[in-house]
Amino acid sequence: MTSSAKQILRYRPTEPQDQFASLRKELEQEIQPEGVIERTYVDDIDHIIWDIKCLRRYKTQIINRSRNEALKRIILQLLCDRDFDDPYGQDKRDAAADLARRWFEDEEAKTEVGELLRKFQMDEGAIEAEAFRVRLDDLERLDRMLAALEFRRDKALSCLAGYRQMLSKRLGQAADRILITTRCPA
Amino acid sequence: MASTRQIEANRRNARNSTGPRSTSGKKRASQNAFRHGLTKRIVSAEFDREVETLARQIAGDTENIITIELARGAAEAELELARVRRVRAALIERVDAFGRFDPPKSYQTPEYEYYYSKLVQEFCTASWWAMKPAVDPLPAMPSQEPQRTAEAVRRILPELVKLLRYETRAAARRDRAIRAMNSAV
Repeated sequence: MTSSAKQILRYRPTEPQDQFASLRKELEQEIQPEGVIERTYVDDIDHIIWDIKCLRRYKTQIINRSRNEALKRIILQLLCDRDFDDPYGQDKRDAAADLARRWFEDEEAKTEVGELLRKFQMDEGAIEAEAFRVRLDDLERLDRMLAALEFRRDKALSCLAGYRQMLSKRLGQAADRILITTRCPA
Repeated sequence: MASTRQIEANRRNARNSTGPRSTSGKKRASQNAFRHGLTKRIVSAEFDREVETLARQIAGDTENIITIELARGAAEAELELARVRRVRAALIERVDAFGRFDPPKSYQTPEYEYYYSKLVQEFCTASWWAMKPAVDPLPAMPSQEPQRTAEAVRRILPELVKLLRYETRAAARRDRAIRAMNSAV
């Protein structure tokens, strides 16, 4: 392999190197590649699995990060539901933002939000749902990427299996040829 | 439907629209269809050397021209894969550092932005300044890892989807070449 092909290219250069290296080691132990082509496939599978891991991690973080925004939106909606004169006034926005911020660190705020949610027959699942809704476009893109990567991983594995099968067939044919052409000692 | 006179006038006018005439205009127009440059074939002595080395390794000790040519295709696709991974890492790094690819569009240059904000700060009261809409509509990037990288990835997801598509095509080219090479032997 050339230097640039061998280079460890992670999703981001600051990703933990030891985890990437241990994944590589595990794969090599499992597949035991022989020759450049098999190593190329293992290299590809290695990158794909790493990418899948990274994207799954980012997906969770993206949802977690949108929780605050989701909470703010839900609280604002709950606070404004009955006020037809000034449904989304600045004071309500500030109160929603403050309550959403405190929800992450303050037990009282958590109880307050819980009561508010219960008043409208909702629970904390509504926050999760809103967090999803806020980032639905991003999550859909991530899912499409994950599906494409999983498809590529399976394809690379089947290509590797096909290559091995073909190689063993060729080796078998070569062995047969040798057996036919070589005279056995009398 | 356009009348005969309209069609004639259109044709006359079209004769005057022959594209850019100056050298710089032609140069600029030649880049009109440029998007990410990844589909452009790399022409460099170093890349060719890398392709040859990898192709030789893939082909093994055969002298069969067809096998070597197919191995060259596989090597080129494999190096393309490495290239697109480098591009992806660099794009994420950039957004991680700046929060975006392009500067906010409100000002033509960062200098304009700087002078405008100085001017406003000097002549306007604090309350007026506070009422002004934010110059950058994007929220600040998280300061901690790994949330920062996750946010950077989220911001460039459309680009990442395109890169992945490109990567998938390169991998398919490589697989096809290896399969053909195997059947050719």
